[in-house]
Amino acid sequence: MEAALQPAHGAVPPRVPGAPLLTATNIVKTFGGNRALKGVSLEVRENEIMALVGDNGAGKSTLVKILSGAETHDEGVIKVSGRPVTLATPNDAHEHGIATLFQHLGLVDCFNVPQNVFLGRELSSRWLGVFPYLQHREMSRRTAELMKRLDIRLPDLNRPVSTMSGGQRQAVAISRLLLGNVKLIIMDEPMAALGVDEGRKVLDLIAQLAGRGISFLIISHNMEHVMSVSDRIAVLKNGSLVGVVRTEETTRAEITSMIVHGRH
Amino acid sequence: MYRMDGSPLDPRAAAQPGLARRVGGFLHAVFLSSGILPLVLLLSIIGFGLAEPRFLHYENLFNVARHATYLIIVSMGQMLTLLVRGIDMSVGSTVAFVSVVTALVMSSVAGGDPAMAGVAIAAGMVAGLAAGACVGAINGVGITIFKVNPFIMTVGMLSVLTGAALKLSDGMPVYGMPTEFARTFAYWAPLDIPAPALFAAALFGLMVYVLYGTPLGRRIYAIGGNSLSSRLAGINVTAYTILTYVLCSTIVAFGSILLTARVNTGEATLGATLLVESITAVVIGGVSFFGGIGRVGNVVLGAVFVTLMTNGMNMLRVDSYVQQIVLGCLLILAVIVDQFRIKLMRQERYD
Repeated sequence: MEAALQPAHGAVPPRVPGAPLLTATNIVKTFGGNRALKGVSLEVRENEIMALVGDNGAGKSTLVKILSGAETHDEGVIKVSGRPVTLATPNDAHEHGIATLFQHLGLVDCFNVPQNVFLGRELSSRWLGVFPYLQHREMSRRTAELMKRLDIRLPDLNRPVSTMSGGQRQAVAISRLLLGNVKLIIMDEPMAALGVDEGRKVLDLIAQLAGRGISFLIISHNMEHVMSVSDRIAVLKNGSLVGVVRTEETTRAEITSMIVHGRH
Repeated sequence: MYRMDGSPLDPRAAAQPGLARRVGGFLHAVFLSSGILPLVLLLSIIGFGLAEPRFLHYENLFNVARHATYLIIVSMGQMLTLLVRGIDMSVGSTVAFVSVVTALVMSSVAGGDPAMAGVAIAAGMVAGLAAGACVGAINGVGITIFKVNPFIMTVGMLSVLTGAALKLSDGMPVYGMPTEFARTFAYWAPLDIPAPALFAAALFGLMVYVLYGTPLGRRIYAIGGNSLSSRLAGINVTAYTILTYVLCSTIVAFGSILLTARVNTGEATLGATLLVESITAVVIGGVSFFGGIGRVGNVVLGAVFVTLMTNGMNMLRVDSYVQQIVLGCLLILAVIVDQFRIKLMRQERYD
């Protein structure tokens, strides 16, 4: 078995979803003559793992792009912690504590872990107040600290991430999002390219982070993963919200029925 | 079987590896980091040394070092474009264009007046470096803003600059530069070290600092490694790519100024062989065509290797046409090896 993510030490802290963190109300998006979203409302709470499911063309990716600042909406209101916000760019979303992890992870393969974690926000000082220089040791130290805090164990932080397994790369990608003040992580098919074992470990990491105050909005086609990790499941069909159900109060059959027939 | 952190469960697997395995592992690591450079460098030194004993004489090696200086400088510029997954096919013609511009400005400002020598040299060098920076900016804007393929953009620029250099000079060498220019930038040798070698060493130090010590260098590598990830990380890929091409052409312009001092005329045909030689030096030096991988120290050794090859073949009286064939074959071999090396890197996993 390859080197992999470690599950959390001991039991995952109990999670109690808190106040609404992200609230999207009546979101409408039209591409040409096609209404991709027809007034979708969604709420993700603090410490919550919300799954977003639906068939192809249901509007999941469009909604996620809007919430991550990669796409703008035509109508509707988005609030973060109760305050209306404008998410025109990914940087806007990041400033409000929303980070997105896309399928390609956003890693540079030939870089090692600290280089990836600090990509685009390298720590540097100025020699004689003029010449910039990278603080290599400080970045390595903070990366090691971050990994320790998140209970992510990698064999060697100084190896290129190209030599790491899919699960390890996911862990690096997630951890780099947590370097800033992130409150909500949006993940688009996070386990799509992973094996069963690796996928399980990434789910463990998600649950562990949710227990530490990070909320998640996860798009997934894998119903087993959705049922095992989420607190609530939102189902979209043809650009409309079919419903939101608590995971512990539903079944796979019911969710599948909502996806296929659009009925609660 | 392995533990979660990758360490082997079976103690026999963790036992000290044998000598052969250790040597194999070392060679594998050297190959992944430096490509075939160490091997071909060693083979060329041994081969030429055996075939022609004068090859290893101090005088000859000193001569090689002096000749390699200009290729080292141009190769360091070329390296930057490959790091961002591009290429600069116009380095040779940039050398010619900058040479003519520098010589024209220098000779017209000097006007035969020895009192104006210092001003003329400064004006000529500034004009040459500015011309180089402009070439890089045009290349960079064409590639990033107008999305022209780097190969096509810089091949087009090659033709433009070749024509411009010939037009500006009327196809004739440009004379009239102050004698202090050549004396200072080509033949001055403090502590018996030729000035061009000192300039190249200073540039090497600057490259090491920028590439490994500054956020700029880190971002150049990042853009070549994965431009989409770099963009998502907030790096202004367009601006950094343009800046990389500007740096490349400015470095090449600096090499051109030193070469102009060496020949003491502005030449529209200067640097004709530098294109193939610089790409060969850079790729043999382990800089990947796929971007994001390569070390400046190996590029210097790559340039030394190419100069050694030329020097060795000259000593063995190999026909100059055959020399071109050999250099071309080396370039193709280096690219094939680069692809194989990248494939190996991608396959390397803990399991």
